[in-house]
Amino acid sequence: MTTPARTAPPAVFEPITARYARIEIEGVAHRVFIEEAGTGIPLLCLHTAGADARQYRHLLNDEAVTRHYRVIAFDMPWHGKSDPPESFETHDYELTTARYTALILAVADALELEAPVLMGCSIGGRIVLNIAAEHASRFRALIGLESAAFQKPWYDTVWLTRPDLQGQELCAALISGLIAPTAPPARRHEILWHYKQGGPGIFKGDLHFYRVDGDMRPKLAQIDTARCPLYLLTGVYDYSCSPAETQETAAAIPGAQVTIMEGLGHFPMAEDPDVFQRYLMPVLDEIRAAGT
Amino acid sequence: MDNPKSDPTSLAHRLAQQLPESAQQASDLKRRAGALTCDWALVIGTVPFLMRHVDGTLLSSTQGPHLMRAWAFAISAPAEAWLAHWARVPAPGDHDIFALSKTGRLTIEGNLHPLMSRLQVFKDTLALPRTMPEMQP
Repeated sequence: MTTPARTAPPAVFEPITARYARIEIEGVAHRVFIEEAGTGIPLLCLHTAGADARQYRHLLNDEAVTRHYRVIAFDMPWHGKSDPPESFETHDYELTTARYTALILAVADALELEAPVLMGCSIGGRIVLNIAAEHASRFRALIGLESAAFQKPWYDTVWLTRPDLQGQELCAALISGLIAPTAPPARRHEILWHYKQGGPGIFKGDLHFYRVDGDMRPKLAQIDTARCPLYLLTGVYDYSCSPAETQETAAAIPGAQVTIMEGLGHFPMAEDPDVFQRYLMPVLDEIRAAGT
Repeated sequence: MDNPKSDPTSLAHRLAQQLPESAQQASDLKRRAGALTCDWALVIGTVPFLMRHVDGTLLSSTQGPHLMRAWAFAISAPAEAWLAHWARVPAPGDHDIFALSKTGRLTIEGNLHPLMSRLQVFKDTLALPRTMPEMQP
């Protein structure tokens, strides 16, 4: 008997562990999909509205980061491979500041993370400000990507759920302009694909937090960066959360450190990982050097 | 002002006129446009270019003024804003029609449904001049 010829070379496995975790969030059972890689300081990552944790796959594969950090990225419930909780069919999904905060704290507690760093992008960058104001003692440091306390809207979200439009194609097309034109095409289309895979109404539900319930301007005075350092990094091509809006936010927070990133837009970790790494590493090195 | 390269308005008009040829060469645009059939206007300053999409193909670009012609929607900006959008590597803020609209340099008016139904196709079509010879260094 002859061994049949291989039809493909052996698989190359990435150094990512991906699992489902049963986590109780606000008293409700959830099944949350979590990816992680590396050892060291926990770095809990929050994806953008209407997307999922695949946006962090490059960071999870970056040995320069995972050498010192345990990078953890999870799909929010209703996103990616994290299903909605039971009985989801009875109501629309709508993210609020309270729900988003409870979710992050529940995941950090359920994973028994000790003094983690929290890094969030877009809506994740916005909620980082709420965490900074109200739960800073739980975290070693906070990183807001494309983060501002408030942003001027640039389109009407009624378009996202119209019965006579393909909502997910539209979501992707709307956010496509937030990606730097210099981003590699493969990375651009990967981001767009993730948006095309979102559940119906989920992007809009996330934007409820962004536009209606998540104005953080009144809370900025509560933020004490001496207790928990706050880093804000924004790409020059992001016009949804513009560098000026990030700088305006930082101006109201003594000690907040701002980095404006050339060649990047609203999805820095996903659109050009090498460029982003050059901006992120000094922040991660500084956090690590500061110890606990 | 005879050299169209030195006159922003003339250059912008030329690029708008070349859009159908450029779009027809981009085979993926027709595939993604599907059955899109729509008359729309690209307005440079006050001059409308009537764009005719039929069954996914951008067939024509006709410079106005037009008498008693209708279009579903119009996307309007000064020549300088269009040329900034059409730079080979556009600067931040010039790189997307909604970025230009957020800062008040571009307006989108009319029945937006056809635009939103194939938004990526329209955005990619409107970005085609970036690859035209006139915009190369």
